[in-house]
Amino acid sequence: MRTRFLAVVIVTLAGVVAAQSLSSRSIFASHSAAAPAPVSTAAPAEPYFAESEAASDVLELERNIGAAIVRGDAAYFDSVTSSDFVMVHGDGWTTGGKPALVDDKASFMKRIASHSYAAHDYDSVNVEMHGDVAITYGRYVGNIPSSGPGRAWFSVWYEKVYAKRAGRWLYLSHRTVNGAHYGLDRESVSHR
Amino acid sequence: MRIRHVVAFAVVTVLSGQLRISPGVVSGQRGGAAPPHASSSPSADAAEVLGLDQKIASAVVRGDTAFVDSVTPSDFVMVHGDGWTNGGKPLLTDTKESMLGRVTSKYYDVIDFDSVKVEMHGDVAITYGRYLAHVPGSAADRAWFAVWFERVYAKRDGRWIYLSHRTVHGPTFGSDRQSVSDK
Repeated sequence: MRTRFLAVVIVTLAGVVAAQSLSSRSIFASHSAAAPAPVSTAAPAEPYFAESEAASDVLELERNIGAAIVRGDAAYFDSVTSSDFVMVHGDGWTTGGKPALVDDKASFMKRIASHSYAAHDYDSVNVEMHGDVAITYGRYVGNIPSSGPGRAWFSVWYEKVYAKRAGRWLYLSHRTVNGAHYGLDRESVSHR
Repeated sequence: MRIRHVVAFAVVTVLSGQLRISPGVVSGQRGGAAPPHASSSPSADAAEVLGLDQKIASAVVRGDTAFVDSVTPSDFVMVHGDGWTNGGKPLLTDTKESMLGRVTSKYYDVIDFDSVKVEMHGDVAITYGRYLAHVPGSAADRAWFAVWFERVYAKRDGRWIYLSHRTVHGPTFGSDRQSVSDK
């Protein structure tokens, strides 16, 4: 009887450990698994599973940067971006026009420090690895309350570039390739 | 008189330097299609990278597989079509091997860049702009096309290597160069 009880306990514990292991691996490898993706119809969020540890590291960094933006952690952003960081807002440049706005490192850090963003949630993110250079592409849904009704929520499709320097991945560049698409609430932009 | 010569030389030198880093001129194509709006880095690296897109394209057109091979890594990726910019699938994704196959077969007979600009990050460079291309043997109304792109280069062992191309708008097809030149 005692032996049977011990066997049940061992099997149960093994199952719990296995489940936790699978869960953490998924979270580590995919933005889609890490942050609940908004319900999407036009552009379904497809889970992406990183094919290497480096790819996982880059995706984790991207997720961490999004979280730092929302909590106003400019110091973290500073520590993981290059001094020549560039963020091109708006897809006007994709047809030869002007972008809506171009941030450098200093100007974007001010946005972070002032808690401009109340939400910055990634989905549909993929990564293209080239050794010490990584390119991510996907979408995020953002919320900037100060933008006012009708423009406070938005979705953006983007291409970002990272480089590994001195053993650490650094965020170099963001370019919006589609958007921003604005709406009244998260739901209204989650399929854009 | 001597001072005048020195001043004239200085002006010519400065102007030629500006032309070398001007995206439209370095690409050797019609830079008037989209007015430049981003300042280019005056560095030698920026000037070199600005010329690379057209240099590689010229090699593609003449079927110079060896050159294209020498400036691309084994993990090169070329994403055709802007479907990926809204979560859809691209028209086609070339690996280095499949892209080199197009070079060898002289798939393209025209690839002309314009409006190219560069964003420098030390040993990483991002170019963006447009090219017009022609694929012989295509249906008449799809023989010419315009593509807006973002490309990524990395400097390795002292040489700039072409890592990635992603179409950010297009291709937009037409029956002749003129029909796609404003797309």
